[in-house]
This record gives sequence, C-alpha cells and structure tokens, in this order.
Amino acid sequence: MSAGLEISGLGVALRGRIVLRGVDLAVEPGEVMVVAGRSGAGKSTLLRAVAGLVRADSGCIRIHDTVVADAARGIHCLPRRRGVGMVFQDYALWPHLSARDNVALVVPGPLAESRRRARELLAQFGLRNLMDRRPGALSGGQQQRVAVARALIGGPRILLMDEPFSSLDEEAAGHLRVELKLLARERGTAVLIASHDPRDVWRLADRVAVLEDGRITQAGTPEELYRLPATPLAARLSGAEGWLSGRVRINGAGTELCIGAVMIPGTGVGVGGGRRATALIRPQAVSIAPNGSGIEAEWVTHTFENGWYRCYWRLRSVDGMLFGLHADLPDRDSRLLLRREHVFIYRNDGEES
Amino acid sequence: MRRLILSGVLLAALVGAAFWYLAPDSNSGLILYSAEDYSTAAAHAFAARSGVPVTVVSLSTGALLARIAAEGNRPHWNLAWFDGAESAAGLAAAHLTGVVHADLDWNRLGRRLVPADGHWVPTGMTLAGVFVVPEARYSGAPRTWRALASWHGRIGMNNPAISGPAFPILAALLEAGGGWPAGKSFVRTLVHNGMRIYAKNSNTLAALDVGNIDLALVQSSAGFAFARAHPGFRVLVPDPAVALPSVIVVPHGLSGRRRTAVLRFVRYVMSPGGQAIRMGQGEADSLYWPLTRSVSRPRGDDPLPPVPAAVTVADARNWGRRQAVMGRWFSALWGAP
Amino acid sequence: MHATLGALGRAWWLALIGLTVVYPLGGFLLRGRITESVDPTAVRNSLMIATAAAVVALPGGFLLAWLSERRRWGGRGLAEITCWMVFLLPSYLLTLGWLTLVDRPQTVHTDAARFFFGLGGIVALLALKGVPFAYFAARATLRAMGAEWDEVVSVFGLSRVRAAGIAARALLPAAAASAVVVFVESLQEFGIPATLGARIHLHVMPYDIYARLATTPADFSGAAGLSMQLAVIAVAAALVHLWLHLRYTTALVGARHRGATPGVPARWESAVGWLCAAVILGLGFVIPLAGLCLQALGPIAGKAVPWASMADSLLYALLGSGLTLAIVLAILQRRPRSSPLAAMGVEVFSLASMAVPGVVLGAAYVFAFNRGPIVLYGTPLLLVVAYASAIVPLLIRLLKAPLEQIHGSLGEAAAIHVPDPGRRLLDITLPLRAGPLLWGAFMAFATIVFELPISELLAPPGRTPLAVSIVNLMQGMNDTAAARLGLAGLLVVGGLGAGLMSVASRRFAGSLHTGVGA
Repeated sequence: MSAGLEISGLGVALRGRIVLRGVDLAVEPGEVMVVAGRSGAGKSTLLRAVAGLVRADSGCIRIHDTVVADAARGIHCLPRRRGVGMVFQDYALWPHLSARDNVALVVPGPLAESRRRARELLAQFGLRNLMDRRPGALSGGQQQRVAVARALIGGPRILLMDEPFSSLDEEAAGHLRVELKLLARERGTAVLIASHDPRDVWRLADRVAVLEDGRITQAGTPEELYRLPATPLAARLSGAEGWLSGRVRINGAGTELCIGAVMIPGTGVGVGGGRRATALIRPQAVSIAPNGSGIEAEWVTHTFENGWYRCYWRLRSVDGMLFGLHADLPDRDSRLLLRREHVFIYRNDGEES
Repeated sequence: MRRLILSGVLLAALVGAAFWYLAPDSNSGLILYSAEDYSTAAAHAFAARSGVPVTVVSLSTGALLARIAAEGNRPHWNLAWFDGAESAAGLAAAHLTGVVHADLDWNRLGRRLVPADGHWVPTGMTLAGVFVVPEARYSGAPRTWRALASWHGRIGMNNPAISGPAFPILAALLEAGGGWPAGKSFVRTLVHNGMRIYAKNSNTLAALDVGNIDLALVQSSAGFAFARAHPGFRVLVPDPAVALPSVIVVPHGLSGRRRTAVLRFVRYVMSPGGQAIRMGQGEADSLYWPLTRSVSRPRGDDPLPPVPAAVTVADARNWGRRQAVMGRWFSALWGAP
Repeated sequence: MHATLGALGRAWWLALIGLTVVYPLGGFLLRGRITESVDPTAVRNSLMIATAAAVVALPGGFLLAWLSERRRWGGRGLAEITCWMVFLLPSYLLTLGWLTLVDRPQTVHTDAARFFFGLGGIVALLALKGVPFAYFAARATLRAMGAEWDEVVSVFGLSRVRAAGIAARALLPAAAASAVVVFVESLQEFGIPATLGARIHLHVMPYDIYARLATTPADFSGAAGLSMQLAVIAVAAALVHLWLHLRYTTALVGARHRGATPGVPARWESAVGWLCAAVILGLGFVIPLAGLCLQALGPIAGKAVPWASMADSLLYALLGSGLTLAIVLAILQRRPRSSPLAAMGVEVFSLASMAVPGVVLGAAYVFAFNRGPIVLYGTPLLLVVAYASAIVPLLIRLLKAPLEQIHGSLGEAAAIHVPDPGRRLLDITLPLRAGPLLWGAFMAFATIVFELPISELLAPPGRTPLAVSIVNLMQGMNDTAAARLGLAGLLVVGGLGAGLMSVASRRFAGSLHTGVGA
C-alpha cells in the first residue's frame, strides 16, 4: 500500500530564516504520527507546507502518490486541491457561522444536502444539541470537535492537526485522543499531529518524529523512542527530568558518567570515552540503595502524584538534580541507585542543562 | 460558484447602468464652462432657438480657470465665460485661448473693452470695486480709492487667492497708489490700518452686515445685489471707476462647425433677447452694464445706477502678467498672529 | 509560465495602485519645484495649528473610545452617533453653520466671537473634525487589548496612577495613529483657516497652494512643489508614528481572542463621558446644524435649488465607495504587516497622500488622463477613480487595525477546506470583514457625497456634483439655497447611515469597528 503522506528532503525558509531542513517523513493511511518538538522547531511550518499554505523551497511532498509539491519542478498544488483537512491550533472556526454551517460549508453541492451531512457528523461527535450555536458559545472541547468534524467531512486523505489539545482540560483531551485514533483507523486517514505535549506522543501516536531546529532527529515508534531516545529532547519527551554532568568512561560494564568519585551507569548515545557529557535520568531510574551502597543524596521537596511520592533529590557530592518516584516516602538522607536503562548519556556540545 | 458569477453579473450590470446614466450626453453641441449665474438660462434659451445643445459646467471663477489651465492644449470646452479681462489675458499669454471676433453693435464702452487682438469677447461690464457702506456712514465715506488710506473706518475685501474677481480690485488699489511696484506702500498702509480679508463676497458682506467692518470693497454686481436686499446699505462708485468686464473666451484651435456654433452663441447672448434673459434670470451677475447699443438696462426699479461717466479700463495684459508676483506679495503681507 | 502568471495575478493590485495613484499623483508632483519657496511663517502656522488640533482632538476621542470599549457605559450609543455625525458634516458646511450663528449683530462683538474668529476657533473646528478619527482608531486598538490587561491590573493591585501609566504606554500606538491622521488632515485643510483666519491674517501653507492655482494661468509646478513639501512633513509624521508603533506593538487577536469584559464605569468617568459626548456633538454638529437650518429658512433669491446634483452625487458616491473598498481590500489583503518594509511603505504612502490637497490631486488627474496616453478625462469613470484614490489613504489607516484583528487562520481554513471560490468569497471572506467593510464603505460614501475640489476639476459636463452646486450657490451669495441643499444632503446620507447601522448591528455581533464576532 502506498504511503498516505510522503515527504522527501523538504526544506522551507521563511523571511530569510531556514525553518525546515531536509525533512523526510512518511505516514501510512490510518496511522497517527506525532511530530514533537519545542516551540519554534518548525512543527507548524511542516504542517503548513503539507497543507500548501507555505511553499517548499526544496524537496517533495506526495499525498497518495500524487506529487502536490516539488520545488525542483516548480510544482505547488493549491491547498484546496491536496485533499487535506486541517485543525488549526486556534480551531479557526468561522465566528459568524453556526457549528453546523462551519462544517456544511466545506461540502460542495447544494447547501441543504451539505447541512444534512454536517448534522449527521456533528451528532456522531456528540454535538447534536449544539449545532446551531456559534463558536463563541461553545466550550474549547466542543469547538475542537467542530473543527475536527469540519476537517473530516470532506473525506480528506490526510488530516493535519496543530497542537490540537493544547487548550483543553485533561479529561476532554483524553477523550478526544481516543476518538481520533479510532477515527483514523476507521477512515484510513493518515493523521499528522504537531505537538509539544509528551502525552500526545505516549497516548496517541503510532509513530513519532522528533523535530529539532528544522531537522528530524529521530523517527520511530514510541517504544523505540522510549528505549533509546536519540537526543536530549527525545529523552525529555520520554520522561527524563533530572540531569547530571561529568566525564564519560566506557568499560566492560558499559558506559558510565564519572562525577568525581561517583559513577553513574547509563546508555551512551554518540559519546566517546573521556568526553564531557550529561546524563538525563528518568524518575523510574531512581531507587533507594540497600545496605549503605549507592550515591548519597537528600530530598529537598516532594509531592504525592497518582499514588507515588515524587521526590526532588539533591546529590551530596555532585552538582545536579534528580527526580525519583517512590511507593513510600524515603528518609530525607538516603543513598540512591540508578538503573542503567533509564539513564541516557549525551555529549555536552549544544545540550540543555 | 454560480452565486459568485450571478453576483458578479448583477454587480457589473448595476455598475454599467450607473456609468451609463452618469455619462455626459454625446451630443454635437457646445460645452460651456461658466462662472456666470445666468449662463444656464441663456444656454437653454439659445438651444431652444438654434437647436444647438449647450452643456453648462458651472464653476467658481478660480476652479474654472484652473480647469482650463489643467486641460492645457487638449481642451474639453468650447467656450468659457467669467469675469475678468486680466484672467483672459493670462490665458491668452499661455496660448490656451484663440481669437474670436464678434462683430456686434458695440457702444462706446464696449468698443473700449474689446481687445485689439480678439482674444476675448466682453459681454458686459461691472466695476472692479465699489464701496458698500451703511446708510449712516454714507456721507462721510471715501469717494476715491486714495481716500481709503485716510479714512477712519474698517475696510474688508475678498482674498485674491480664493476669489478670482478680487484680483482686479487689488490691481485697482495698486493703480491708485501709483501702479506696480509704487502702489505697494498704499496697499501696505491699508493692511496696517486693519483691512480684513475674507474668503468670498458673502463673507465680506456678512461682515459688513453685522458691523465687523464699515466698508466692503467688492465687485459692483455683488455690492448692488447686497444693497438691493439690505435697504440699510448704499453703494458708492469710487473715482476712478475701474471696469471689470465679463468675458467669453474660446479655446485655441477652435474651428469648423463648433466655431460657427460658438459665434452664434456669442451673438445670441449679446442680442437684446439674450441679454434680457441674462439681466432677468440671473442673480448678482445680472447686475451689469450692457456693451451694445441695442440693449439697455431694464427701466424702473433697477438697482444699478447709470454707467459712470468716466470709466477706467485697465491694461489687462500688463496686470495679467503680474498676477502671480502680486498675489505672492499680497500673501506675504499677512503675518503671524 | 505558471509562475509568471501567478506573479502577475498577485501583483494586479500593484498595477491598480500604480495606475490610479502613483501615475497621476507621482507624475504631477515630480514636475513640481520641490524647492518652491514658501513663507516660513506659513510653515510655522501650519505646523502649529495642525499640532494643536491633534492635541485637542485626542483626549475627547480617546475618552469616548475607552468608555465605549472598556466600560459598560450607557453613553456608548451617543458616542457612536456623535462621532459619525461630526464626521459626516463637511468642513465647509460646518463653517457656514457656525458663521451663520456667530456672525450676527447680537453675537459678533462678544468674546466668544473673538475666540471663534481667531486661532482658537480655527483649532477648535479642526479638532472637532478630528475627534471622530481619534475615536475610530482608538476603539480598534482598545478592543485588541484583550481581557487580561484589566485583570492583571486588578490582580496586582496597581494604583490608579500606575495603571494609568501602563495604559498610556499601551495606548501610545493608537494615540500616535490617531494624532498623525488629525495632524495631516488639519495640515492640508484650507477652508477653515481661510474663512476664519481673516481677522488675524493667518497665513498657512495650503493658502500658498491655492494662491499658486488662482493665478492665470495656474502655476501647477509651484502648487505641486508646495504639495510635495506638505507631503514631506506628512512623511516625517509617519516615521514618528512608525517608531512609536515599533516600540509599543499592538496586539493581534486570534480567532480565540477573549474579548475584554467591560467593567462598570465610576460615576465620575460616566459623567465626564456624557459631558464630553454632549459637548462634541453640540459643537461639532447640533449647533452648526442649527445655523444651517436658520440659514435655510431665509428667502431664496433667483433660481431654484439644483436638487438634481444630489442624485448624481449619490450615484458617484456609491460607485466611488465600492471602488475604494476594492482597492483597500486588495492592499490590506497582502498583509503588509508581515513585511516591515511593506508596512512602512503603506504607512508613508497613506499619510503622504492624505497631505496632498484635493485640488492638487484633481489637477494631477487632469494632467495624467487628459494629456497623457490614457485619456479618461471628462468621463464619470475618472471622477469615480479620483474620488477613490482621495479616500483610499485614510481608509487604509482606519481599516487596517480592524481587518488585522481577523486572524489569518480563518482565511487559511477557508483556503484548505472550501474549494468553491464563490463560497469562499461570499460566505467566508466578505462576511468576516462585513463590519469594517460596511463601516468603511459608509465613510467613503459620506465623504464622496460632499467632496469639493476634485468634483470641481473632474466633473463631466452636465453632471454637477452636490458640493459644487452648494459652493456655486454660496459664491453667488445664495447661502439660503446652499444651506437647503446641504441639509438635504445631510438628511439623505444620515438616513442611509442610520439604516445601514441598524441593519448591521442586528446582523453582526458587537460593533462595526472590528470583524464579525471579534
């Protein structure tokens, strides 16, 4: 089966600044891909390039094997001819039209028939009693549903969503994630979502692409991302919060980060022995060491989160911070063990602290 | 899309209809630019008699002259009718007007006002400036232009930059002071004595009416019209009386049927019948002295006195040439508040 | 080939601007003597009264805008009516009305008359005419400020003085925008200073322009040179405004913009607002209207009132306002805010064009379209185009903020989801902009109906516009007929405006000053 969406070597520059560089991406029909990254990484620009709202300066975009953009050949299909639906970050519902008409206007043909189809779809989205209201009279979640309905009613091959859940409460967002996943499967629509929210990665994505500074730095399943995040950003997305800085030592046991006399075991990602590096650590890595072994630490503060005590640890002898999740509240002064599979060590050049 | 096309077609139809309605008649008649208030009535009468339609564009003198100058040597007008031989001379000097000789039964005044080179046809005479004063101040009012300088009263006149016929008044003042540039000191004296400048006749005469000024220096037609409507005021014709003729000019290069029609128009508006309409169906502009022997002012209840015995005819070309520099000098007399 | 056609299609609006504004005006001004000597006193006087008018107009306009946008003030309707009525009344009728009342034996020797016929009166009338501009510009910016501003002030417990200081900085771009419009409009205004400035011999720059045109033959080069100098002053004002704007940027409202919930005005705020609105309405409309009515009651001498000119002007105004809107939309749709250079170009172009007196613009059109390769002079089309080009600069400035508040994503959503161009235009693009468009159309319509200098120079034979008829009557000392014609025009335009606003306020949420639902 051909890919629903195929992006090759896409480059986009806006106002003299290169926003996307050599982006390669493919989304299968029925698949949900989340493009994750920080603000300003180029996520929205990527979506807008697929939608045809910005021109590609290099590379090529195919939708179901139809070339919709090819910079080298000067091809740029108009947005309305690409067969995409888009949900904007601010929903972009037309404020002067009712929810029903927002959806109906997208359907070509006689308005009466368009309205009938819109009513049916909005009813499926649980908005039967609200379809005569204007967007201003709807809640955020309701507006989001209308926006999704509008994007889907035309039967698009690709659905693009820009930070779709950023302004919704967790309950509404949670429901919508499930609905969206089912919709994508049922309709065979390839869904590309731009998001900076890790929850969209772990609760929605079939595959994830991490976008940093206009480049895809990692693409794969959430599991692949979780097991081996290729960059510090990917590690953060996978839950790493704490950090420690030191020098890398590679021995028979594997890679370790040396901070004075303290050795932190972890998974090295593109690091060589003797280099300065930073370890990013998930809370799951931290446990209380038995019998006086481990790294001396003191928790500074803690919170209770979903059945776990989340402690903020300050290590005695090293500069850095850790977060740990514990079933019981540990002693303030404790010794900690770190599990290697949740510690990732990266080179120090250009990294976050 | 169908709605858009239908809307577009409807809009185009409405716009087309509007432009069709507004389009000027594509007749083969004459286009007259006029600042004379009787010109519409005269044009209608001419058209009825001759079958030659005349479209009148009524404008203030200033706008009329600006329009003629802007059109340059691609004129859209066939005749222009306004007050002021100086302005006509100015247009002639700029080669914007052509020669028109109308063989009419000129009276003595008419013969003096007909230019030798034929660049305009005088159609009636008013005076460049008369003194309008309240009845109570009539006896002590100045009788000459020069006497204005020593008279203890507030004088008002129109602004030459706005009111076209005010320029000949300025010329008359300068002439009274010894010509140009000698007359500057005379005018300067008047300004320093508190002479006030108003935008147009109605403002000047309104100021007289409410007592802001004691003497209004305006064109005779305006002055006599005002006195007719305001019995408490009288008009003095100063010595010398300076002629300000209304004139008709034609564009450079007028020829053929249009030229023939123009000449017919001129003859008609100067005929007894034409002048009866001009004197009877206009307003202030109707108050002029005729220049042809066969026409005289209507008898009985005519606000216009007999033509003054001595009328000075200014050298229109000379004064016309100096208009720009005189205007600038006069503006410079105005200082900061 | 495709790219070339696309570029040509996108640039059609450039061609439209070029043909209707740059070609006639640019060509005319370039023939002018930029070094044309001007009396320094005239320059000083012009700058002084224009600045004074702007300073006097701002507080009133802002206060009314503030109370209308940020407070649940019962006088909002009055403020709206006040500004529209004052805007509607052309300056020559405003002056005629006041003159009728002040220039009477009972009043002419009073202190009020002495004030009126001096600098104070000139500045006061110019400022009155400027209040609507200040109000319209300020309302758009205040609406864009959003709800958070008031809430932050409240949460942090800022003192009134400090809150006022923060407000002043936030409002600075809007204040500057309003001030430069009033400044430039006052700078090129001739009728008011010429009529009222008689006693004090007030010499202003537009006077010199008219003096150049009043010579025979008219000195167009001199007038063009002086107009360029006026335009240069306007450009300087534009640059000041741009600097202020860049320092204190205005807010962009998204499609989820949370509008401010107006608070309850303090009693003193409300009282001052009512007083301000009443004073402006009284001085700027009611009193001069009373003067006009008084004048209209007098006897008419001579011929009948030329009522036909009103029908012609209404039709010209309909056509002209339509063309004006099309040009304004074409320019603003290019979203010049996304390019600083383009934004600067729009700013400078609009103000510089506004500084050129209408008589110069009219002359420029005669030169361009009678003597040039394209001959349109003498046709109603040229008059309509000239009307539009005269008011486009002002409307660009006044509609820019309201149209910018309509978030771009609304148009993008239409571009993606609505394939039918007809539906896009008729159901999305136009309705979203209906508020500002209707408002702008009416403003253009009302201005064109009473427009004078362009009408004088470009009206085709046989079609005398309303303003020309009014002025002809005034020239012929028939002020009564002039007043009747003027009043009739005001009645018709005012009635149309009232009807339009009544329909629009029922159909569209909120005020006409922003996009639908914004």
